[in-house]
Amino acid sequence: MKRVAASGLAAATLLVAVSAVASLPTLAPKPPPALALDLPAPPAPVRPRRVASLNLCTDELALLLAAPGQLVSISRLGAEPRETPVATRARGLARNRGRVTDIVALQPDLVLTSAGDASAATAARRLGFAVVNVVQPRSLAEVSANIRQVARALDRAAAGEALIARMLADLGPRPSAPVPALIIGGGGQTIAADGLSAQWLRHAGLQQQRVTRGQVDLERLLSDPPQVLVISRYYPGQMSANQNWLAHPAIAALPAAVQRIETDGRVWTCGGPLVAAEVARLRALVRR
Amino acid sequence: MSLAATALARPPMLGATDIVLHPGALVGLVGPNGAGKTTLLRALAGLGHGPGTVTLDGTPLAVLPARLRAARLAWLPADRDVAWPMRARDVVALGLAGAGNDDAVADALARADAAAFADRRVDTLSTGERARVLLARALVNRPAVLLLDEPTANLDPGHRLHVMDLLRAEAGRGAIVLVALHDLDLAMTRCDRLLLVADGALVADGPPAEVLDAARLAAIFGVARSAEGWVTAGRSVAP
Amino acid sequence: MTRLPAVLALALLPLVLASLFWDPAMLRAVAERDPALARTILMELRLPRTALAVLIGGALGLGGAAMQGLLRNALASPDVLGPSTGASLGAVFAGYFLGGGVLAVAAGGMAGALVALALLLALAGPAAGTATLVLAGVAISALAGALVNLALSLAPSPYALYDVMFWLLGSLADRSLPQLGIAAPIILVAGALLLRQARSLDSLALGEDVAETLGVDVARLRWTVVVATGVMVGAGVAVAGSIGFVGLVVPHLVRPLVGNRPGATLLPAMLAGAVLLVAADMAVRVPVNGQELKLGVLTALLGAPFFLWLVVKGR
Repeated sequence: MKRVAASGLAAATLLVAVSAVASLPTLAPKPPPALALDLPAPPAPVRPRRVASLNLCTDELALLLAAPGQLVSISRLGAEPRETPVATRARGLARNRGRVTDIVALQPDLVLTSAGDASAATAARRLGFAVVNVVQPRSLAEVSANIRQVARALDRAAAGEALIARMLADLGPRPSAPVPALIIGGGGQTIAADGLSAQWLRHAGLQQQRVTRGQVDLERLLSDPPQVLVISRYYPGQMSANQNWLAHPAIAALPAAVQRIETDGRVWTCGGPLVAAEVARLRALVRR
Repeated sequence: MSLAATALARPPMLGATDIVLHPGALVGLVGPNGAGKTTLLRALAGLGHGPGTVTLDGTPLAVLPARLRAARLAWLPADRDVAWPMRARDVVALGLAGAGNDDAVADALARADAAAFADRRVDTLSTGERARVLLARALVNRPAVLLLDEPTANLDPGHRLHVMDLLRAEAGRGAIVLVALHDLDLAMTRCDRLLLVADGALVADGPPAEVLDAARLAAIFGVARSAEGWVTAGRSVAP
Repeated sequence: MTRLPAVLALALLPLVLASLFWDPAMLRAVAERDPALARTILMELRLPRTALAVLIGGALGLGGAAMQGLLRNALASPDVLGPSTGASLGAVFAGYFLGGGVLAVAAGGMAGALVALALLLALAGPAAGTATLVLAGVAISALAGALVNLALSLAPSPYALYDVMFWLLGSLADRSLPQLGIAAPIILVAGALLLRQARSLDSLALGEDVAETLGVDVARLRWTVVVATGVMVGAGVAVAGSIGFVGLVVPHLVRPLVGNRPGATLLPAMLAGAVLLVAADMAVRVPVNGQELKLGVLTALLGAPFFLWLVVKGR
């Protein structure tokens, strides 16, 4: 799970950092109140009713799995339609900036954090909140494991199994003869040939080409073009030096034999269950 | 041909006094420190934005095309700065209005007795040597008007006299020459006419002996001539 | 002495060819497989990249020489004292907040460079001492750099981090013909205008007043140099990001060869800037430890020690 997704990830971290800049007064972690330190962590309730998620990737899982009314807060990114297709489900929820201080007042009975942000989990635990820390998945099996972990914590095990079943149905069997492909995002960022995103692509019948650095330049693209070029659209229409790269005339000048497919860049950021439907769409488009 | 100035600077500088300079005469400009010699020379060169008008042959300098003015009038400032370590020859060539003319440059260097270091960088020259190079720059174009601020400063006695001879020759070939001097001996013995400024005003204009009479020497410069040479008058150094 | 431009032009030619036909084995392999693709690589990638290296290197060298001549200070240059970073800021602002296309980004870059240059002149004065000039320039440069960071932090771009790197370190990789089409005319016109100031800049060696009596309209000269340098550098930065130290170093390399005349330095500085940037842009294509260096990193690695040496020498 790197690169194209990572571009989104880097962005996610960055945006969190940005929000930190925007609200300097709360930047320094406040010492926890002495009272809270003395309390033992409360036992997890049977069904948490006030769930807060601090990270885009846990936002996605929570929005897919939670019962109506169970969620009280998700991160800003989780509510941003340009970041995730499930943002539409976030209507009415409080938004946080990815920090524990943002959700203390809500008194959540469960906090979802990403293992990428260890300090959030630590801070939430010290404040006495029940915390579920979700790791970055590295394989499809880990994606399923994450779904089960969050579903169990939400007391929504059945919803979790249903989501996994839907995901596996979308994925279908792994096509046996994959087509050499390259997935690129702005600035030519791409993914590792053996990471999670490449495993997803494999189910679309695409074998990600091996690239030495996490980035392809146009010469590399033109001198050794893949059979299928998957172009990740992420924040389309937004000006950026990296976005402009995708508009370079040389990409349009690739031989007609190179099939160009666009993909929704948002789902690759977390590489979670949302990718499955996109994989099914890609598989239907790939020429063999 | 004449260079004429009317009401040059803010009052009381030079007041309503007019100055008219004619070719052929070597005119000295004298006065104590801060009297306004440099200001007057700059104004005559068309620099600064003081009130008053300077005309060359009846045409105000301000309306004279820059190229034409540059071809006819040369001004040598008192400072000897050259921003870059250029060769002496190249510095002199800056004074040429048109394209480079090696003969004119060599001739000007020779006249200023600077030919020996024509190919040396000016930053390697002594102040007096650099002063002669810069003088050559002012002369190279054979200008009709020469306005020189302290061209003899930092020079050894021989070269001081040499420069005065050179300026005399320039006047002789028909140039208007006005030269600011601190050396009153040079001013009295080598100039045809002196302008005396003090406290920003033109005090006297005439033959050297008349302009620098004993009363003015004592009142304005605080000096007197005696058998032993110059002595201070009216100013004493506390023991 | 007058042969120097010819020598530099002769040195530039093989470098340009080497840059165009870089990695000939790869080009030949592609040409055998698909001649059209090889032509695309040459025309759409190598040509703009090489031409921009020539133009921007030339613009930086010429701009540096002109600024040094105007300010009579050997430490002046657009890429160290603010205008380049100012151009980055202008380009970023126009691009991200005014939602501009390539033209708006170029216009923003030029405006940013001009503002930074005007600010530098206003702060340092027309004949500033080295300390004042460098202090003012470094302050402007740092401020503009910080504002680029801030602007990109506030821009909701997921690529902001990469964009900061591009705008502050510069790159000629993957430039396009349309970008060349915008930068080239601006740089050529402004460059021609600057080259015509050679004689006036020479006269300025004796001070502004002497230059004035030598027939130079000093006020106009100052405006011409400022506007032409700003526009030229701004257009270059808008397509390639800010590339440091070329404009500082190059005039120093050629000035002694033309008798230290500030005006005579212009043309060879332009050519030497082009030579340096084309060569540097080839050097960054050789991967070091599997990674390609950013162009601005390489020029800073070469230029910063030179800057230090100048400071020590000038003490």
